Amino acid sequence: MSDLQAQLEEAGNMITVPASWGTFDEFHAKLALLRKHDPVHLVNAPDHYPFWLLTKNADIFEIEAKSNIFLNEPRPILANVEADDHTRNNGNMLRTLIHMDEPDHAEYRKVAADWFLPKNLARLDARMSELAKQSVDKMSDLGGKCDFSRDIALQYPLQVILAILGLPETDYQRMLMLTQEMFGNADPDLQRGTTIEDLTQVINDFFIYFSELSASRKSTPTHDLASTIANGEVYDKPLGDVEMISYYIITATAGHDTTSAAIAGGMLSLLQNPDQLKRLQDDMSLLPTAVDEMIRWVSPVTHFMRTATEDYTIRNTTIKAGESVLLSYPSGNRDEDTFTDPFKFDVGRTPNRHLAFGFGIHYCLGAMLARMEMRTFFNELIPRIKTMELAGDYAHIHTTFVGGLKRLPVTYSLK
Amino acid sequence: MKVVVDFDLCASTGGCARICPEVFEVRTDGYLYVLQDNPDDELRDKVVEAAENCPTGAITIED
Ligand code: HEM
Ligand code: SF4
Repeated sequence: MSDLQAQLEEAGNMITVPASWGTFDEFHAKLALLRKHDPVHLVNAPDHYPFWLLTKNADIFEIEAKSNIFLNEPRPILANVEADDHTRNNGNMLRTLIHMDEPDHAEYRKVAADWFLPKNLARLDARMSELAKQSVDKMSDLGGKCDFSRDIALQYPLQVILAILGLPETDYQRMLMLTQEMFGNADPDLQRGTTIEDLTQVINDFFIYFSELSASRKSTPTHDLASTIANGEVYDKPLGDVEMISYYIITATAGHDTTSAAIAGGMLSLLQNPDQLKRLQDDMSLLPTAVDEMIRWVSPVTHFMRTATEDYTIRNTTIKAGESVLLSYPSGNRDEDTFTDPFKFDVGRTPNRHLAFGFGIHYCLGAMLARMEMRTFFNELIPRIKTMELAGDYAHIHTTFVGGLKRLPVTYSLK
Repeated sequence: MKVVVDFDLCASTGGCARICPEVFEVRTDGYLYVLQDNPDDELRDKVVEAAENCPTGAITIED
């Protein structure tokens, strides 16, 4: 095998290794190599069923737009052979929107879609500003030094989600742990364990918690997302138990780690690029483009997968019916053919055709919410920064799916 | 062909604009604008693709 071939193979295999996400820059360098030399790359990694790794922005876009050919089921996210077999033999423990295809997907998505429309999110403005202000006040209280990731970025989005679901602040710690274990189950610092039994235990905990919530919202509906889900109907019938619990779980988890990662990673980028921080401080009207640039830069969701229902040719390579493709969002978001200077963090970037929220019918339900959260937060923080600096080594979570920084030590002085 | 967007459903994702910029545009104010209500028939395929990919089902095509 030539050197290049060996490098490409290693780059492809890296996608299946949780620790590689922790090497952020190296991870991106390897994706760049794949984009250049083998953009439709067959991965045959140890312990995993084979899949095609797609790294070009245009290709990811093309596949996502063909949702009649490329389905989410039966393999919406990457898992090892053991877990894939377990799902095949026992079915999925969860059935969320990402486990569905048409026509069910559209029917189930409608249950919560209204909640996430910009005009309805506007109602949350005041509460969100209050939570953002509390977070920044907390930074002040911590006395000029904190782990921005753990102390701030992880907390605020979860508080927002609790507010939306209508859950009391006393449930905060429990939800934090469960989400982290669910997504962080590959990181040695966070996980409860690594086996399928351990993950089943995490999901069981969620089941109990949300079943109780759901029963209470059925008997006494309140004006929150939890009530909308508890009383949701599909095909004119009440949501089934598994689908209902799955709905809670996806809104609670998908809305949490993703946004936390984007906030922490966005902060890191501003600290690593003081000129961009200054530019934003001097002109806060750049905030919306700055937030999208943070989301592009971090790409907190590392992939979703699709499985072909018929042969399909892309860049002269034929994906056969039954074969799966993995859409690498971090790669699509650094594509040299789509972005000018993709490796430059530019708070004024327009246009910004990133795919961090995916595309097409599965396009992130919470995209507007996530943007609004981030704008509200940075709108509070940026003008109050007098000085702020990195204060030691930062670290990324180990994952093959969702996540960002788990540690970001900073020192600062705020107004 | 007549393009109708239900603005009560549209979530300003910009998906349609990426598929068919001749007809759809999301401006910096965050709203979607339909640039032409009655696009030429040669744009039909792209408009149909945009409608199929709209995550909220906000786009319909009349005749
Ligand atoms: C920066 C933050 C976020 C990022 C990067 C992100 C990313 C994504 C991505 C890539 C997808 C899959 C799209 C596809 O398959 O094409 C997705 C789906 C989804 N996201 Fe997000 N997300 C974020 C925040 C949120 C928030 C705040 C919520 C709200 C609770 C949320 C809820 C969902 C749901 C429910 C889906 C499934 C949609 C479907 O399958 O129809 N996300 N997200
Ligand atoms: S794709 Fe649908 S939701 Fe997105 S901007 Fe177009 S009409 Fe609105």
